[in-house]
Amino acid sequence: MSSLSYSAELSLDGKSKVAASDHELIAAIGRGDEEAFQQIVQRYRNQIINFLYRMLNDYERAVDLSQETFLRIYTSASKYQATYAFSTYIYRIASNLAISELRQRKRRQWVSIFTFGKRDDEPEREIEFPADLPLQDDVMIDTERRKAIAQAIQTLPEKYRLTLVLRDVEGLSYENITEITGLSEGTVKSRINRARNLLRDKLQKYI
Amino acid sequence: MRENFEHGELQAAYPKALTEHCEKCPACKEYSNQLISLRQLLAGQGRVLAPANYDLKLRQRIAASQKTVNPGWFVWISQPMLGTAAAAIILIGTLVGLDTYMTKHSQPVSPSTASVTESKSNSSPVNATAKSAVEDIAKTLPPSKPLTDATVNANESKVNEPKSVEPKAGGDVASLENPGTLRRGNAGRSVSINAVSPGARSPRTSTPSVGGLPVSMVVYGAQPVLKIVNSDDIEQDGNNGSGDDTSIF
Repeated sequence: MSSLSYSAELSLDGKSKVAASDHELIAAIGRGDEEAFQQIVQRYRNQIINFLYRMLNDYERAVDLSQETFLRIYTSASKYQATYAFSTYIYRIASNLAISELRQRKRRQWVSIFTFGKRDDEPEREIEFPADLPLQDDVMIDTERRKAIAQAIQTLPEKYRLTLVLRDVEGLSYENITEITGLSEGTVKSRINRARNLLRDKLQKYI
Repeated sequence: MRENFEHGELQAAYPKALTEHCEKCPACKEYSNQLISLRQLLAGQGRVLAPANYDLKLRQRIAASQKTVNPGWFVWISQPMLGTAAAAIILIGTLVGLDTYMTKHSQPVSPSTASVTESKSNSSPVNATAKSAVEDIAKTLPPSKPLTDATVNANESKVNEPKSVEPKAGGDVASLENPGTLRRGNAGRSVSINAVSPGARSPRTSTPSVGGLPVSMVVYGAQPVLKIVNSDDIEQDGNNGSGDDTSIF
C-alpha cells in the first residue's frame, strides 16, 4: 500500500470494482489495491460526512473526521475481519470519532467557563450543496427550520443523539445500530424513544 | 399500542387496530402524528456532500500518515493500562532498591565503647565503613596511657559488671543469647560489634544486645578499646584479644 495512484487507475479498471462487495473491496485494500480503496471512499464518503455532520453540526470537522475514518480503514484493512457488514464497521469507527469529538468539546467548554468567549456563539456556516446535485428537500425545508432541527439535535445527550441520528437520519435498522453501538436492542429502542420525545418537545413549533 | 407509537414504527400487522384506536383516542392520535411528523423532519434534513477536493485531501493525509515515524516501543506507553503497570513496576523496583541500599549502608550502632569486627575481607565496603567509624572515634578520644596488667584487670572487671539493658520496641529479646553480634544483609557478611578488653573472654558472651544490635556500654574510668578482628578468630578460640588486633589506647 505504498503507492497512492488509485485515482489514476480508477479510470482504467474502475468498472470491475463497482460490482464488488464491500468485503471484497476491503480484502483488496488489505492486499494493497488502491483502486478498491477509492471505490470504498466513493461509496461511503457522503454517508459518513452526513452522519458526522448531524452528530457534530460542524461541516469542516465532519469532513475531517470522515477522512480520519477512511484513513483508519486504509491502515487497518489487512486486519479487518468480516464479522459484520462493512457499513457497521465504518459507522462504528465514525461513531467513536464523533463521540470523542463531543467529549473533547465538553472538556473545552469546561475550560472556557472562565473565559468570556463562547464557542456556540460563532456564526453557523451555511453548507453549500453542489449545484449539480439539488436536494429534493431544498424546496420544502427552509433554512430556519433546518437550523432549528440541527440545534435541537445538538441539545440531545450524546448517547441519545447517536442512536437517533443513526436511526432517523441515516435510516439504519435496529440490528445495525445494536452492532454499531454494542447496545442491546431494547436499550437502543429506549434511547431512540427518549430522544424523539425530547425532540418533540423542542420542535413543537415545526411538527 | 403505546409502545408502537413510541417507536414510531408501527408494524404492518397492526395498522387496522392502530387506526381504530387512534380514531377513538385523540391523545394517541395526536402523539402518533407528532412522532410521524418528527421522523419526516429528521429524515428530510438535507444531506451534506463531500467537498470537491475531498479525495485529494484524503490522499495527502494518507501520504502524511505513511511518512510519520513509527513510535516503536513507545506505543505501549500510550495505553493507559500498560503505562500504569509500568509505572507501578518502576515504583516498586525503586522502593525495593532503596530499601536494600538503606539496609546495607545503615549505621545503627555507635561504636563509642565497642570494637568492630568484620567477618569478611577487609576490602569490603562494610569493613571500610567500620574502619572509618573507628578512626573517627579515635580522633575524638584523648591520648591513652600504655595499658598495664593492672589496668587491663580493672577494665575487665568493669566491663564484666552487670549492665542494665532494656530491650527497645521491636527488638529481638531472644537475640540476647548471642550478644554483641550484628548480622547484616543476606550476603553472608556479618559485622560484630563487641565490647572488648584485652584478655577478656569472647565479647559475644559478654556484651548485651537488643534485636541483634549491641548495646553500647559505658565503662567509667576506663579508656575504650577499639579493635578490628576476624570473626573466624572469634569462632575458633572465642577470644578476640589476639596479638594481631588493632587496638587504640
